[in-house]
Amino acid sequence: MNEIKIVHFLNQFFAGSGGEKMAEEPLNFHDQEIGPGVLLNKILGANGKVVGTISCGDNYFFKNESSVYEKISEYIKKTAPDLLIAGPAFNAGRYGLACANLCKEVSKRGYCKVITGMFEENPGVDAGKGSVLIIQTGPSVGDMESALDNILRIGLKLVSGEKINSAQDEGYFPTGVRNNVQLDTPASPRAVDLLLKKIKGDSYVSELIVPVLDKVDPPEPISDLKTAVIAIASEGGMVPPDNPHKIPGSRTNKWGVYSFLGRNELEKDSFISIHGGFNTVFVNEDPDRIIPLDALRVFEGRGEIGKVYEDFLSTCGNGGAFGHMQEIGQAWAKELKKGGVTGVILPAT
Amino acid sequence: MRLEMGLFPVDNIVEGNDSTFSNGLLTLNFEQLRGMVMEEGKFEDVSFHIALPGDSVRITNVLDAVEPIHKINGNSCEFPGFLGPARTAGDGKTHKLSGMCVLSSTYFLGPQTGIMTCREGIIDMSGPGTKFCTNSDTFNLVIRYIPLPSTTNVEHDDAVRLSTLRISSWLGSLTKEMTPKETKIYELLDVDPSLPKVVYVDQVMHQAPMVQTFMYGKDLGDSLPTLIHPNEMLDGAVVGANYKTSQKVPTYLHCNKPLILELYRRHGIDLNFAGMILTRGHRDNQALKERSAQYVAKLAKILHADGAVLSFEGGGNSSVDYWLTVQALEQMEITAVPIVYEVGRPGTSEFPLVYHVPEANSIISKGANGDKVDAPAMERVIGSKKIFLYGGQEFNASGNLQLTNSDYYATEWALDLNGFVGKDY
Repeated sequence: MNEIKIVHFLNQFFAGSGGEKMAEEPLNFHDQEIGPGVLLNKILGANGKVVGTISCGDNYFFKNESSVYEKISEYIKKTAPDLLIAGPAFNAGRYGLACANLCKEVSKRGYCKVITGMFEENPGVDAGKGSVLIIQTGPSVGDMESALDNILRIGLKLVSGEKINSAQDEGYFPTGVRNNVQLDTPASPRAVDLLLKKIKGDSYVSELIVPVLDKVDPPEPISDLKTAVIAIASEGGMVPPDNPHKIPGSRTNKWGVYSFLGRNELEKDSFISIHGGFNTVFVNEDPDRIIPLDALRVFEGRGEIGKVYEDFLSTCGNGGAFGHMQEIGQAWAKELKKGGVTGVILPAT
Repeated sequence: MRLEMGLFPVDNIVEGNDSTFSNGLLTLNFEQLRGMVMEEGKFEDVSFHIALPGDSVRITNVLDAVEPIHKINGNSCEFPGFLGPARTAGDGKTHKLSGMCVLSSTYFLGPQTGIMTCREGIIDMSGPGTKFCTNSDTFNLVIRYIPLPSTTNVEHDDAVRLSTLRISSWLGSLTKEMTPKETKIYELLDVDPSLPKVVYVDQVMHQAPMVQTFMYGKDLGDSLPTLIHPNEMLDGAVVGANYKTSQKVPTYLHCNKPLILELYRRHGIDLNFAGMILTRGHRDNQALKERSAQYVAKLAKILHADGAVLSFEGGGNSSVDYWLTVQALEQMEITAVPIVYEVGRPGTSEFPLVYHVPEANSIISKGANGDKVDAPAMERVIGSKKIFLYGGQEFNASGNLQLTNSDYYATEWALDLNGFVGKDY
């Protein structure tokens, strides 16, 4: 590999200007390594060189964020580094946020690769999540050497395009993405090992840490059904027999709108289910079993509901990815709002 | 209950004039086998094919894979409930042609709708797909069944199952007078009482024809979770009949469940294998799922379990049963470690599960469905030359195929056996 060029970002403290009193110190550019950059250069050896350092007071950065980005952009364009290293910021909150935000900005503008490092409680971790590679460090400067080691190890991979392994294996914060990896040990021995550790009270690591889902609070009941416009929307895979939107029986992000206009009930073969996850024989015999238009028309006729919304929204929920289903839900909400719908029945399978 | 499993490892299969087994070589007279399969008039036609590890072969339409066993002595016959009375399996002496399987490959002529659809089962014997399907590493005799025009799907399925089990046990009987190369003893002897008591909870599928599991010849239907001795599983008490491509559990695996083998291996060393609970997923509604979960946890409690490891067959609906079971176990103070596959596609941040309970904080992941596979063209196709993947695309089976890992046969168990794991990036 050619010797790589690195620009290093520091706050006023790590640049040697001082602590909180100097937090208003403006942006400065230095042609050489300073502070932890000295160690960085030593670790780099023949692999590369710190060609410049950017320093900025913690408060100054946030009070002048957009002009700071412009000036740093000018500087980076001029010095043309392969990699921007910000920090490590350890548990310094404003510094960590500045590192994450700056990396995000530089990465977005596409000038060079970016990397930073900090402690897990630093608010910068959340700020950079998903867009910046953030190396896990200890809470304080005592961890400087190993933090810089790790930042450089991964930073060099970023520049060379070499494969970067999982967050756990490499020591960076998860970005939210998951990938398959093949181990030497099958699932069963791993399961028994994990169980015995947990029973004994030893520390253990779950192979899947489940993200927390949004909670959906049920809405208030409709105050006056007599004026309500009621729609039906379903994931049951109900489509006209020619399946005009070609909705597949599983794992889809497609959906369709079909009209009830002129129908009082759904005869056999007016709709069929293309859903691949349940026994569809009974709903194909009588589509009202899943799209209860017949019942709704009775309520409409008796004036117990205002009217039936004449468009039916349909998709197939079988094996649906969470993200796709969220997108469909949002699109449906928009569609129904636009049509003046005040209540929706969601028959599920 | 003491089971002596005599192993006769198979390392080659050839067609010949006589059906014999000798020194790892299984020689088969296909006409003799044909006579046995056709004698009751249940099929239009049948053919036999050999598929060995490393062959340039793609097998399509695979329903089941069965490792041949033959009972030398003991209480039961082979696959009790199918090949004889439903007497308790798992004791006495059994011979097994190990490392080989009889595969059934067929199709259905009756209408197929919704869940009652047989989905494609593809096994590649070589190439990158081998790590995503089971039985690419076993020496296989494929029986290709052609259905009678008049037969219903259920009749044909039953006939194929019975014939495949029958041929398997007949092959096993070729070793009747022979001494096994190796004998494994399976017996849950008393061990140091201070070792943690671990139970295995195995949740299998039952939904409708094409998605079933049989125990002693009867589908699990509405049955409650039940205790089963692991030896019964090893000795053929449970037969798989789920034809959902990636999710299915072949009979071969029911007889070789990796968690049973692992718990036996460690019994008396660092744990006490306290028993096994078999339950079905996809119960009809939330109340029945909760009832079933409670029942599993209660059975584990009766076994004085300190912990449970769990495995699972099925999709989104069944995963609700599964997580409720983990929750019920943890709430009864039985530490639970479930093995799961993830539903988010690899390389994305899609949500990895359909359902989850906060008590489940020690999970083993076998990775996700969705890795792309460049499956090369194969010299030989056994089964239909055209394949229909889930979603309706049609392909020429012999050609280069752009597949997803879950298009393969029993992918989720292949991921388990081959050490896959989902990791954060």
